[in-house]
This record gives sequence, structure tokens and C-alpha cells, in this order.
Amino acid sequence: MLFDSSIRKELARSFGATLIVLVTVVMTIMLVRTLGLASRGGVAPADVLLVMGFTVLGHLPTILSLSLFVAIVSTLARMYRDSEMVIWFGAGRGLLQVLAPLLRFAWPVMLAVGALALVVWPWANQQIDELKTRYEQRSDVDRIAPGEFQETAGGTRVFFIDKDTPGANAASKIFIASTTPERETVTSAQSARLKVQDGQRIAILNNGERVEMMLDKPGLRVSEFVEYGTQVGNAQGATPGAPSAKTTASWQLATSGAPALLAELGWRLGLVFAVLNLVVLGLALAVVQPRAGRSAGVMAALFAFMAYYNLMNVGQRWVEAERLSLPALMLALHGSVLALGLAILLVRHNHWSWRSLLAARRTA
Amino acid sequence: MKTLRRYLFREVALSVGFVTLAFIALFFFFDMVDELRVAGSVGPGYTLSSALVYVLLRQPQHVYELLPITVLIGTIFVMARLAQNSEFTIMRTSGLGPWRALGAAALLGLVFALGTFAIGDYVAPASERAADIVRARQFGPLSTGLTGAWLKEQQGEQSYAVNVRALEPGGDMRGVRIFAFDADGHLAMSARADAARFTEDGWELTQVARNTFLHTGTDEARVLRESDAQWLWPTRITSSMVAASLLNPQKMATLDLFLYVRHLQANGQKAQRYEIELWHKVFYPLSCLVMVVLSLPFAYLHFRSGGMAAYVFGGVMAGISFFLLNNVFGFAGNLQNWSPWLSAAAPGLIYSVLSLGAFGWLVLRQ
Repeated sequence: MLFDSSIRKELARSFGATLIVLVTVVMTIMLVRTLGLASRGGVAPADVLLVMGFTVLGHLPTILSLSLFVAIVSTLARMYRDSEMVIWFGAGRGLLQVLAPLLRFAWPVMLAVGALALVVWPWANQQIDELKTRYEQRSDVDRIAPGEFQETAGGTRVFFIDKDTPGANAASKIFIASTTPERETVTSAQSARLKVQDGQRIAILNNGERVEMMLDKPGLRVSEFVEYGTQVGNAQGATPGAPSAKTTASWQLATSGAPALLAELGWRLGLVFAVLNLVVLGLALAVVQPRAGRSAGVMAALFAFMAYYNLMNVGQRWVEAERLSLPALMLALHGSVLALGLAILLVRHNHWSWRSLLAARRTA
Repeated sequence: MKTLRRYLFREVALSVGFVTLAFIALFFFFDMVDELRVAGSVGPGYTLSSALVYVLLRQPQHVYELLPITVLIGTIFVMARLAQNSEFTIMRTSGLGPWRALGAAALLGLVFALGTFAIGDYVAPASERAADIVRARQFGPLSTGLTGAWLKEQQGEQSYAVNVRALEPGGDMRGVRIFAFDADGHLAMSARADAARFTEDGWELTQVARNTFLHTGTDEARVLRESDAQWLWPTRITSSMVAASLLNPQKMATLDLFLYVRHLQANGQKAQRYEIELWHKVFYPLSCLVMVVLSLPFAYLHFRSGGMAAYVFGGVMAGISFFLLNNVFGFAGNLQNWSPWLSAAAPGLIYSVLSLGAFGWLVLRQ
């Protein structure tokens, strides 16, 4: 059918182009952000691409929905502008008949969004969390960078090594400050080297001194040394944070019953419903008068998208705070958006207006 | 010419504004998703409205990051549409020569570049600071790591290591520790104070406990312990430097960054990262100019035979590749110790030459 295939072909082309552009832009921005995170020590430099990939993968449902929405709105806007819609209307096709090819195009996207939101999103978040904790638990020696202050051992020790350091296993002008609740120790030395003894890594400090200050009682111990060995251990494995709702698998969310987890489930399901609603909204809002200003309908579509998606976030928070139950939210948000879209569509399809309705009542 | 220029500028500004708004909408949503997770784990104190305000205040930074890409996409759209509707042909017959077109594009690009610079230097740091204050109300004062900021200062023979645990939203410091070392690297003085304030001559510390170590003889060492309600420590470390070591260098204004780089270099610390950030900050707005020049050749294409979408798509991809290269060069320069300003300026130069080449070829061919 010409009607079907002409719309779907153009939709597919527009959807593909928008998707690639959006994914590249989001990837670029995320890459820049992750690189910034890496240079501040949040993730390992080697893991930058992985973290970026997982982040983009996690956000892919939103990107897919937005691409679909942009494709629908831009295709319809072009068809209105080139008077193609008028021709279709003239050929006996109403606005509601356009919905069928749009939905036929949208269902694979909806499936993909469903899979990504319900399965891939928690998995990607889990991977990112794992990469981050693994990097946080790296040993003291791996952390030390010449010319920069470095915190180790859970923040109780701070190292500084001079910028002009002779080699990987030696250092000059060392400053170590370590604090425990009882005492504060400051160690300074002219030089140091790293040595492995009985499988333990030992840092040998030369020509320095060590000052211990008691914090709870008056007392001070100063010791000077020519050579002083201190064990540089591996950082004790910090306990990974409690698994959050973001990383929990969808079926576990459904069976748990805790409001925070249910809210997360509702959010993921909402992403899937949003695809359907966006199709309806896009068709309802993308109206362009061929000779008048271009962008009113497109602007309305953009604002509808913004409002809808942010309301999904707000709704999640409400369910979490138990101000609203999950089914009520689903009905109130997604149901009302669908109803609103369909209502606008029906009005446009039947060319209802206040005047025509009043006239109809008068004749009746 | 004035009419043409005004029309062109208005169209481009509208289209760029629209594209920017669309991208900001997307990133606002992503930020909100992240922020609500934090809000959920913090508890009921961090409300939805403060999360909203926080995310909203962070958007100028996104505008700064996105502007070159949105300038490119918006301008290419306008140029391609002008070419497709034959509007550009009419403009050319009415006297818009290649040099004038280039001049108009350059002017437009400069305006965008200035705007980007202003956002990156004034609007974004100010709004980021405001966002930090919003967060500080929930999460306590601004701090980094577990011990806060560490700075070094060289004063004649003596060198100091300074630790500031946190910075209050009002600008006062909390939990200050100062260690002074003499020329041989021996600890000469240590001080710990509950709070400190920045003044003209140095830091004014309150509730200070000080230990002064006097190395008089070979074996003998004396320690002087004092505690004062107030003590002035003469230093040249300013509030913006403390803020800089607590904050991300990307969020600093150009002048602060320059002063901080000077401070780091003067005190034997690694400044490479901040130096690259400084040059990046200087050259980054110019990429808007490159983007506008890059999109100008699209007005000279002929779309009668179709294939407009492919050209536009290619142009957008070229622009994004520029943006990517621009950022990767900065970080690669950091790792490979390239000359900072060269690694910041090279991508812009390469792409400007390429797009001017394309423009010249399209104009000459006709």
C-alpha cells in the first residue's frame, strides 16, 4: 500500500539518522564527562570507554524514544508543509488512519525499549558500580602520583611525593600525614625506595623524622631516623555499598514490595508505555500550516516531551515517598497522557470545534 | 545587505536555540534520574524541589558543553533549508558574494564564541557555585575526598603543606591543618585550627593549637606548645585556590585557573592538567566559529537532485568528530606531555583549514 509504505520508509530514514546523531552526541558528552571523572580519580583511565559505553547503554531507552518522537514529528511536519497531508486527507484518509502505520513502525522500537529498560538498564548500572568500587579498592602504591597529594587507606593517610622523582620504585621528598582518632603522625623523609620482602611491599624511607602528636592528651614523640621501613599494605577491601534500586533486576523489584523498589519498577515500565504515548502525542501535536509560521507545533511537541518525561521522574519520587500507589501513578500519568493525546486526535480527526459542536446541538 | 544579514542571523539564532533546548531537555532528564537516586539514598531531607533546583542550576554547564554541537546542527539546518528553497541563490544574485557570506558567517561565529566564553566564564561557575550551596544545605559543607583539600606553598626557605577539610558556602574554611618544613625537610611547625577566614595578609585562624619545633643542637630538640584564640598565618593562598583544589578545574573561571596554575608551578606541584584546562578554556569557544564556517558550504550545495538528508547528516557527523577530537586531544596531551596550547589549538586549526577548503572549492567550481 502506497500510503503505508511511503510513511514508513520516510519514518525509518528519519529515525535512523536522528538515532545515530543523538547517540553520537550523547556518547561524546558522556565520554568527555567520564574522562573528567577519570582525571579526578573517579574511574580507572583504562575503564573510561567501558564506563561510557555502559552509561550510554543505560540511557538508550530514552534516546530511542526521543528519536522515534523526533522522527514522527519531523516527518509529519514535512508532509504538512509539502501539502502531502492535505492530499491524503483529500483521498479519504483521516488523521486516525495515519496512526496505524505509525504504530506498525513503532512496535519494534517499543520492544527494544522494553528489553533495554527492564533488563539492560539494571545490568549496565551494576557493571558501572562494580568498575568504580574495584578502582576505589586499588592498593596504596598504585595510587601515589608524584607532585599530587594522594589519600590512601580510607582517608587516614595522605602522601605527597616531590614532582622530580628518580624512578618508579624510588621517590624524593616524601611527606606522609596519618590521622587516627588518638594520634596524628607526620613523617617526612629526604628519599625513599620500594622493596619487596617476604612477599610484603615495604617502603624504606631515608634521612627523615617522625612526629607523633597525641590528640586526646598532652604528649609528643619526635624521632629522627636514617632508615625507616614501613609496610605499604593493600587497601582493605571496603564494603561495597548496599545494592540500590537502580541495579536491582526487574523481577526482584516486582516481588519485593518496598515502595522505593516498586517506584523504580514503575519508572522502567513507564519508559515502555511512554513510547506508545509519544506516538499518539506526536501525531496529535505535529500540525503545521504550510504557509504560516513553522515551529509552533514542533515547539509544543518538544515541551510535551519535556513535561512528560520529567513527570515520570517526579512520579517515581512520589511513589517512593508513598504519596501515591504505583497503579494510581500509572493510571494518572500514562493513562491521562494517552487520553489527552487521543482526545486531541479525535478532535482533529473529526474537525470538531466549539462552533461546529454548538451548531450540531442547535440543529438537533 | 543589512536586511539579509538580519534575516540570516535571526533564522540561525532561532534554530540553534531550538536545538539547544531539545538537547538540554534530554540531559536535564538524565541528570534528574541520577539526582533522584542520590535523593532517595539521602532520605527525606533532600526534597524533590531542592533536587530540581540543583539540576536546573547545573544546566548552564551543559549549555557550555553542548553549544558548539548545537551551533553546528542549527546552522547546517538553516543553510541547507536556504539552499533547498533556493533562497540562498536569490541572496547570491542580490549581491551576497562569497567574501560577504564568509564575513557574515565569521561575525555570527564570533558572536556565538563570545556567548560561549561568557557562559563558561561567568554564568556556569556562578550557577555551579549556587548549585553547590543548594547541595551543601543537605550534604554539609563542600569537601573532596575524605580529608578535604591539600595545598603546598613555598615561602623562602620554608615549605608548607596545608589541609583544609571543608569550605563553608559563605567562604570560611573549617578544619585547617598546617605543617611547615625547614630547608632540610624537618618539621618546623604544625598547627591545627577549627576554622579560618581569608584576609588581605593571610589566613586568620581561630582556636589554634600550635607546636613549634626548635632544632638547636645535634641531638637536642625543643618543642614549644601554644594555643591561641586567634592567629594570623601569612600566606598567598587565596580562597579561589582552595576552592580550586576542592572543585573540578572545568568549573573555574579562566583568570582563577591562570592564577592557580602559577601557584602550582611556583610550589613544585604538577600543573599540567590545569594548564591544559586553561588553554582548552581559551580555545574552546572558538570552536563555535569553526562550526559556523564548517556549515557555510552547505548553502552552496544543490539539492534539486535530492540527497539533502545525507549531506546534512555527514556535516553533523563531521562536526561531532571535531568536538570529539577537540576533547580527546586535551586528555591525550595530558598523558603524553604535549605542549598544552598546541594540543588545545590543533583540532580547531585543522578543521578550519578543511572547511575553508571545501568552501573555496564549492565557490570556485561555480
